[in-house]
Amino acid sequence: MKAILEATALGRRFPVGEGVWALKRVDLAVPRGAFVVITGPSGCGKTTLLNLLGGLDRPTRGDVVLKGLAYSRLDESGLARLRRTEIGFVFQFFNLLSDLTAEENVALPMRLAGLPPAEITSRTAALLEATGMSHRARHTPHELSGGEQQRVAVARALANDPAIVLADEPTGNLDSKNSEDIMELFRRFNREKGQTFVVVSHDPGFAEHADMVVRMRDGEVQALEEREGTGAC
Amino acid sequence: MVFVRMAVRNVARNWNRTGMIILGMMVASGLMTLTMSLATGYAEFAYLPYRQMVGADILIYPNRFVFDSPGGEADRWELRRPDPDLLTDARFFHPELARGYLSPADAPPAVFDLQDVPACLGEVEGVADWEPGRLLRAYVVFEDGGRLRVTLRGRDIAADRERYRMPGSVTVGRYFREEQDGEWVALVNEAVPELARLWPGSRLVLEVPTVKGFGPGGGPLLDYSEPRTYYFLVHGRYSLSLGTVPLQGVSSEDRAGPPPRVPVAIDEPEVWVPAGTFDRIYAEVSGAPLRYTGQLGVTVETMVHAKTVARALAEALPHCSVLTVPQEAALSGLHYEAYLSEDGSGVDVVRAYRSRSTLAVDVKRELSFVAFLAAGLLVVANMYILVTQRRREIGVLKAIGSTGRDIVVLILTEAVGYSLTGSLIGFAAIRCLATLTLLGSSVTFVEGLALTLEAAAVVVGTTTLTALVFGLLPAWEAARTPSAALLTDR
Ligand SMILES: Nc1ncnc2c1ncn2[C@@H]1O[C@H](COP(=O)(O)OP(=O)(O)OP(=O)(O)O)[C@@H](O)[C@H]1O
Ligand SMILES: [Mg+2]
Repeated sequence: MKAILEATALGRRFPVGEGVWALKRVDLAVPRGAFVVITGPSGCGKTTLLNLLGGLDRPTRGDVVLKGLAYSRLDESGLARLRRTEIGFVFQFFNLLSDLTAEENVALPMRLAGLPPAEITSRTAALLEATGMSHRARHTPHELSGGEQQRVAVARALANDPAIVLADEPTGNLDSKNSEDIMELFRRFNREKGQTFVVVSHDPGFAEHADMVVRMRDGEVQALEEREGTGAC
Repeated sequence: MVFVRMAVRNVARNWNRTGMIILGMMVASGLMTLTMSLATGYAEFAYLPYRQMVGADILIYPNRFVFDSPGGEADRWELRRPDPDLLTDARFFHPELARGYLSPADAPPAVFDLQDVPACLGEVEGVADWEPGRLLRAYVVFEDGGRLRVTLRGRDIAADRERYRMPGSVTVGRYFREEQDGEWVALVNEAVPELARLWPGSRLVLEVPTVKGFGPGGGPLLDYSEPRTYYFLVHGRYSLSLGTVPLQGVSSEDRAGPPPRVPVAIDEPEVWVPAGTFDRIYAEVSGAPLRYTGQLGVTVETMVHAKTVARALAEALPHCSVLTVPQEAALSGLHYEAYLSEDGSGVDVVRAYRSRSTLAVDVKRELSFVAFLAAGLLVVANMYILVTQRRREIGVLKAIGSTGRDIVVLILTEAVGYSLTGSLIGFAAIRCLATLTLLGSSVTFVEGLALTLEAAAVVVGTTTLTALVFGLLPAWEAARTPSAALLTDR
């Protein structure tokens, strides 16, 4: 079992009042190609952990290593490059850029990565096709439903074919039908492309099919359930 | 490049935000344009009634005015009128000047010798023409024996018609025709009650004291004992209207609605005759042609440049005092107030003096500085809104791999887009008023264009530079903040 993403002694303290340890100490190894689900009560540090894993925030202590690269050794632009090419993010509130169309939102990470325009066009079309959003390519986010926005966001997260996709309650704002669609999308990309997923979710639908479920409490990992077939890739 | 294009698209697409920010930029640059336009020049019609009265845009006084003080020789105070600010100070410390300094008759005489007028007068750029001040003390003698002390003023008919729109200010009768120069025709000031009784065709009797010689300072010594009498045909009455003033002393209980306003006009007791006629009278009462005068009146090509011309004249004539008529009028502090008369039967219009000149009419550098500061603050606030409103968006951009530099480029490009568009619109909106004035004046097209471009460069440049500098600060701050913190911001 080879870990693609590894967190060691990860801790994050927020300087409010006397200081809050949102994340106390987490050790976690995510195998390549795995589908990992993180659950736990509100305020237990799930978002904090995911932000640290994705390099959106710097830990107070400990380190994260993605594909052999330690975040602590990267400067801001190195970390930005890593987020651009190796990490895809899906948020609870979609977070599409409201001034851009669906198509442009999906194309943006590729343009940032400097892909040739022809390739960007074809990949964008393929991703929108795969997420079932081709018919809405020219629409801006506020012309789309929540479920549609989230599908565009998934397409954007996958744009640069990242090694790992991090999702923070991606179905938290969707009804059950749309949630089911997103879950299905995640599973399909995990199965067909071997993309690694780390998903924070209370949705039993995700846990059901996960290779690993991380249960958190009070800024720590309380239990780690590994399922059959883990690490198979 | 990705971010430059994205910024351009953001500016072009998000009309709510673009509209708000551009409006802010417009207001800011409009404010700058306005103060700049005011500070660089006057409107073509600035202080027209006063310019109509003196028949000039700029007045030049000879060498110096000396005011004797009770303290004797040691305290004697000289006024060289080098600049209007000094005048203001002088008026502050010597309040007695407020009433008298404009009138050569009240000050010890000092005159120009017209045979020796500096050649540079006509050479200074922007000067259209100059005329000696044609002024004499005189008395109107009425049929009932009443007498009224007046100023007899010789008028340049051509300049009055072309430059000072005098025909429009003649309320009864008509203005002089050019061929009447030298004839015994007169116009009287309607705002003076005694003169308002005269009608076109009436006979006007004028007594002019004789000039016995010239004093040590060069001023005429008048002999009132042997005046010469002249008979004129009244050609009409003029009124140099200053607009209306609110009627004071009317309480709100007396009547509803806004206080009534009363029209006021310059009420100097003056009788105007054509310049040629004046010169004939002058030659007769002094025994020699007009040679000494207490002031020179300069007509400029355009009021927009009046201050610049006055400054150039002051430089060319270091021993003289040069003031634009608007400056003089503002500095004199003279204005009119209207009251209900004691018995309630009518309205009294009285002259009053402000102890300080009104700033707005003669925009000083300090004022434009304050305006620029206010406009700058507006731009700064705009830039902060532009960034702080969008911290979440910046967080997303960073999450998908933008670097801090990308963010700065994005914000700065947007800043330039907004400030350029906003300041150009704001400039255009305000400036077209000033440009209409320019067009109405006699500035050449090229010159007007140059003036406009210069002002545009200053306004657009200042706005854009401010936007860049103060966009950089919040942009840099946001660029350095971790994405996670930006994303939790609302
Ligand atoms: N920027 C911050 N400053 C201060 N405290 C914070 C900050 N972010 C999170 N916290 C605190 O850290 C703890 C963990 O927060 P976190 O957002 O990781 O919880 P969560 O497990 O994602 O909760 P939820 O399920 O409600 O999203 C909470 O107590 C929260 O108040
Ligand atoms: Mg959370």
